[in-house]
Amino acid sequence: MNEISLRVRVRRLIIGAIAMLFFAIVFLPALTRSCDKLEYMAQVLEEDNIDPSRYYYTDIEAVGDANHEISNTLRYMPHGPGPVPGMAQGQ
Amino acid sequence: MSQESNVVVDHGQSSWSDLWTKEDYWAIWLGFFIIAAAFFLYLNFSPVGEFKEKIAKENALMETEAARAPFKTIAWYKAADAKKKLKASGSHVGKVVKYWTSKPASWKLSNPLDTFIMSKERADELNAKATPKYEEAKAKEVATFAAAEAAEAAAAGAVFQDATLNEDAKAKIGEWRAAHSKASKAKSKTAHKPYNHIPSLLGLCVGLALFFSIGIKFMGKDTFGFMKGFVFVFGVSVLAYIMGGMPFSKQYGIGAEAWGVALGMLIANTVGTPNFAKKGCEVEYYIKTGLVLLGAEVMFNKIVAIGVPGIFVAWVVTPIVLISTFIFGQKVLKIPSKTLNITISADMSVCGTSAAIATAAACRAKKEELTLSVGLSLVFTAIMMIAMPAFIKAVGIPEILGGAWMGGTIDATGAVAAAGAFLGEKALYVAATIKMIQNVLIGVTAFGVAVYWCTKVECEAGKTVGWMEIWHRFPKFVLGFLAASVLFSIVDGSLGHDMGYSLLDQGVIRGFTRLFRGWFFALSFAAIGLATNFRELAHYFKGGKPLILYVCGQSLNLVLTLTMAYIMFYLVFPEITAQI
Repeated sequence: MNEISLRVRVRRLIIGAIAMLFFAIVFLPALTRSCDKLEYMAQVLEEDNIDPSRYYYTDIEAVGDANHEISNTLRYMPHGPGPVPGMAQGQ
Repeated sequence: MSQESNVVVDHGQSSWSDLWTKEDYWAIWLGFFIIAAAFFLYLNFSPVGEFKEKIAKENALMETEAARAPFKTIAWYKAADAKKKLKASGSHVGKVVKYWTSKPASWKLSNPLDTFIMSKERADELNAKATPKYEEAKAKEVATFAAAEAAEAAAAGAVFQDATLNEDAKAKIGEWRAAHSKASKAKSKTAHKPYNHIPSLLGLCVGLALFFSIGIKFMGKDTFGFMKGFVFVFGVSVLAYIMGGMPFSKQYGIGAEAWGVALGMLIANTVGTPNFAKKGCEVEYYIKTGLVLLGAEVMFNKIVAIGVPGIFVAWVVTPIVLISTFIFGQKVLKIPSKTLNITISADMSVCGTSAAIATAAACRAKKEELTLSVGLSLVFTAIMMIAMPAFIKAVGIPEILGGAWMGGTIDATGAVAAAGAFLGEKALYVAATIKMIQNVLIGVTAFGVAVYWCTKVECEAGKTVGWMEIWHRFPKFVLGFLAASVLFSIVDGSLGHDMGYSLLDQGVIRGFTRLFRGWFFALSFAAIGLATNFRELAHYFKGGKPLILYVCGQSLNLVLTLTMAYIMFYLVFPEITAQI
């Protein structure tokens, strides 16, 4: 690293930063817009406020909601009289 | 991962002074200080009595409704919604903590300034833009609710004995729930408020610099030098949060951690990391403190969240895949580094980045190995998150089976939720819950790997290791991680599910410890980037073996998880599947 002049290193930093910005601001949006499914996915994520880059369950509100919903289902599972909807079709 | 040796090092001797001179112990003290503060604030300043009263009332109602009809009625859902609104993080304490730990906001391309400052005019403009969509969603909710009410009344009129009316009521209620969910989400887009994150970010930077410098001082390092370097690392983390907050970056799972490594490496490999900043690159210190806090989120009660099927899908398949992949890496691929092998195996089989961080720290992996594992996971997560729901839809796999399959195989939890949402609400519920159960495996994995490394990997062949030697070698922060996990599991269990949700999950954890844990991991990844050389990283990828390991392990994971999910959800427990 010592033999490379500061000017060259700064130039590399600027080129690298521009490349990163290009990737984030131009390439990724273009990739999404290039495919209907990806565009739909972006819309779903925006509407549902889901951030796919989060890595643990406590980072995602939807996981807390899902846990709450399923816990309620298991603890207060409907068992009233009459045929249970969904069972007949094996859903 | 330390600057000097490049690996997490504990010396083969222990003494009482380790308690205040060693990083592992400082990670425990600092982590537990945050945990204690969280408990103090939320238990003393949240409306605990009010929560208890409301929960008891709603539970009684749900019990009555569950006995009244063979499906979830409107009143059942309304009671569940009322409980969901009880969140300790919504209290005054929660709002104050959120303000002082806030990250830069999401960068919408139309206005980069939104990351730090939002004026009242801008907030009003965004709210006005979102209002028509909300009004439309609200109108649909009202209409579907009326239809659901009528259908339920018809089913009730036949004393729930008419299968067709029951089916119709369940379907109409389902439509109302979907519309209700959309309306709630649309409403949240009309609630922008003005903010200015600059003072809170400056305050957080100073606060965290002082917080970590206590341990630095006792460890005998240059405290003032650390604080100066910390400011630089914090600055890179803020930039990483800005980049990771961009919607299109988030869509492909590229978050602040990945950008932290990328930005750090860009600086380190071009102009070079400034010498003063190197003193702030305390990778292990940040990671270990973050891991102690992560322990608080590893609650063993969660493994029964979806009953026995979830345990089989997440806790039987995952260890089989983890161990098989590790053995495959050692025996077939002959990966030279066992630490790289186990980090990739855990990353791929358990839950991506968080498992990689915990495993890498437990087995003292090199920082390049952690970076490589996380990078591999990032690429495959992005692919699987898009390809799996598309495949599931194309071949007509049922939503619940598809959700369980994705939950057990896609690495990152956020990506699992994204893929689940793409498929449907039921798929989202199952996928997210399976992933949450799998997340809990981090505790067992980190402890198991730490013990295995102390007793088998780091000793001479044929020799046995005594208990004291194991103690000397054992990474002590893992004990803090486990202690936090046990403490939170006990508290969560004693509070019961609903109070646990309102006070612990939506208060102490999401409203406090998680916010700090997020910052600590962001700092550690920025510091990893600032201390990583491109050439060294390439060396670990030699021969493409890590890629082959990941692909083979993930293929096994896909086959086993799908098989187990089908057996559990469709052959053994169809009644659970029918009610989800």
